[in-house]
Amino acid sequence: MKKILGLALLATVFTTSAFASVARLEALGEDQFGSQYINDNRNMFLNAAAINDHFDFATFEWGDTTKVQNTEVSSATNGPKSQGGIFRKTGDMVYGVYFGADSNTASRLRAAGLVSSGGNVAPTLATLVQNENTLDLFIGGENSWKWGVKVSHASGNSQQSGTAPVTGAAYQDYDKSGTLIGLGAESGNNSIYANVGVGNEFKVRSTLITGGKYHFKGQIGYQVGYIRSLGEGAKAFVEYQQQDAEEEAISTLDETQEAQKLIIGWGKTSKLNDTFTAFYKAVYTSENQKNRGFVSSTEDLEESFLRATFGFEIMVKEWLTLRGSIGNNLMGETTYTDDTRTTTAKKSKTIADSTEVNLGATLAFGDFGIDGLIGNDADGKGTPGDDNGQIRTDSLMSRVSMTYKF
Amino acid sequence: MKKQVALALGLAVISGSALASKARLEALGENADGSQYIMDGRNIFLNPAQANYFKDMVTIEAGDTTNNDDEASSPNAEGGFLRASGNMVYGAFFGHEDQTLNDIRTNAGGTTPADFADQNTWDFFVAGDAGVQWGANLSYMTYKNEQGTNDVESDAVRVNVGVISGDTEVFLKTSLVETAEEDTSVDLEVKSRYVLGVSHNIDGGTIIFNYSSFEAEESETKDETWKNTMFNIGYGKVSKLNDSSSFNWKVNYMNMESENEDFDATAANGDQKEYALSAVMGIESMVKEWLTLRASIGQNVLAESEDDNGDKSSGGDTTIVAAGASLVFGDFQVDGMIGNDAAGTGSPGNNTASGNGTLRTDSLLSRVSATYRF
Repeated sequence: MKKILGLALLATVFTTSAFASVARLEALGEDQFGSQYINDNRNMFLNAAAINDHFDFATFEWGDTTKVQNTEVSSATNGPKSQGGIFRKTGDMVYGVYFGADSNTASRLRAAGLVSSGGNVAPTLATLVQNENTLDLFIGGENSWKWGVKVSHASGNSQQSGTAPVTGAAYQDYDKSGTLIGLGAESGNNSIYANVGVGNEFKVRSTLITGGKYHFKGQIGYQVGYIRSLGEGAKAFVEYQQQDAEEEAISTLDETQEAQKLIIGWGKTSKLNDTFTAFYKAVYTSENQKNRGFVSSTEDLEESFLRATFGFEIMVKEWLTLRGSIGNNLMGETTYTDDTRTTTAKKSKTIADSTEVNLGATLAFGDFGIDGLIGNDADGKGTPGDDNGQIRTDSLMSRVSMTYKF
Repeated sequence: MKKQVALALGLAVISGSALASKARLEALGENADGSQYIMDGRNIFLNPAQANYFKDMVTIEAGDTTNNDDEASSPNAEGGFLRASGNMVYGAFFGHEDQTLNDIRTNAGGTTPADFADQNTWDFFVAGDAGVQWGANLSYMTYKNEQGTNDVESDAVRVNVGVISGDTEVFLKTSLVETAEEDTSVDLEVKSRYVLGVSHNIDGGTIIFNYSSFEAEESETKDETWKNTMFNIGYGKVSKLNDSSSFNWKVNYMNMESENEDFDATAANGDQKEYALSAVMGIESMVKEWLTLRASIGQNVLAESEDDNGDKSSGGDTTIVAAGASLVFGDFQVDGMIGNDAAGTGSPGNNTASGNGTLRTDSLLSRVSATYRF
């Protein structure tokens, strides 16, 4: 059967690749929520104005919506999440409907306090934090400049007692909601974007928690960025993120967290011939976290690093595109204060080994593309993340998506 | 093997897809027992008048007949044919089990609940066109076991009728006999069962309505009853994008109320209410003469259930991506679902949630069917 598939694929005819997948971006060393310098449909999650460059397609990302975090590496609680939607152009306007684009940031913040807030709460309830039934609506247009707006909303609640996924931790009830507004504009060589979290709340009552209740409340969080095209495929960009959160039910600690992140980068795509494109990127990231009991392991955290990434994408056959990247932190340091809060002494260490290689492929059937990551399932058991330098023909691809371009 | 493939590809001829499988419907976000807006041979189990559109075909769904829940993760063996003769269409199917009735039967109790599920079911179809297209489906099954600890007897006679007139379709499903007994243990009777469906094509889409009412009683040990009423109202549309691809979408509002008085031990006693506004969209594309790919995504946009205590729940995360493929060899087609067997152990799930986002070539297709059009 493997040979049948392989031969069958050979017979297909390539027309265009849809370029719209989590797998593609991750294979090229980028974040699944969009790239500042690589052209991909997923960029609309970074800059809503990008829908003016990508429309008339439907995409379906395979996965399990109950996972807490949408990650390449698969575990019991994290892994690929199901999501997908459609984007169509009507007249001068572009509209989009997208299901399941759950926020990893929301899940991470909600779970962080739950897992380690001084041991007062129950880590097993962390599998309950993820957004439910997330709906994203997009609208964009173009006149003298391109603009786009995204509204993302998710909510879920239960007054009926039950158990959290995977862990089976019992709860009495829960209530959670999240709302995000994305704005973007492009004019000439300049792009700006802002993604503003206007609501992020999670409440759960359980006998597993001392005091019986955990109440996470996110403050207004935002991600703002500016991208400048420098010509010949090069772009410079800067992005700033701010996320504040607090826990309101447990009174023994202050339980607040503030986080800021600054990203300054430069990236370039070079089309070397009709089929081969090279990608280069250098990014400086600086992150500060001020934790007051929200997470017990550290207090104030400062982290900065310079990361370089090289990637390539090549259409080796009409029906097959291969891509890969390698990234490495050239320099970086993490500093945090003692977690007892009795001293201000700082402890530093350089960032651990961070060399990372990702590989991916697109099987192109005309306007229909199947994207995936390859070489990340060493034992072939369908739990990607156990890279061991292998390509398997049974577990052919992971992080798979199907995209059709109208 | 290479020669096999080359020959197969060489012989492959576009002749239209057979469009008749559980895997296809589920990959497009619909129920395996028929859709009110997507054309598929499985629709004969909703509206037998659809047999007029799917005559001259034979289809076989691979599976295990002991699976009472016919899902992609536990497919049930089934198959049959539809054949035109003169102005009439006749057909027979083996093994088609009604999932709602199987749930009622297996939840009624009994030493071996599976004994009460549909067994050796026969379905007979007859359809014709007399100005309006009409169709009827008689379903029959009987089971008896006097060799066990307790004697068991189970019977069902069901009738489905439907008509298609212009842009409007109507069907009605009911049971004439629906009983299951086990000495000293269970005396089950489904006292009433009605499923009424109406659909009307308008502006290239379809307005969908269906209403179902079930009432079951188990009276051997004590009076145990279960009642359920549900209606769906929605709008679905299939847009042909080009000669080889189509886009389907549906918005549906479901409202359900049920009453469980000691009948179903697996469900809470008392009244339960539920509503859900759901949306689904999908793509089907014949990417090559020999290969059709399809996928869908759906979720509840709004949903709420209420238990007997008045406690409410939004019902959890429901975002689902399903995917499927058809290998087409002229008039012969093999359908299946893809991406739902992460470990490749041959234990697939119902959609890509069980596939962990992986595409495997060893466990290539699940919920496989083979269909041939004469």
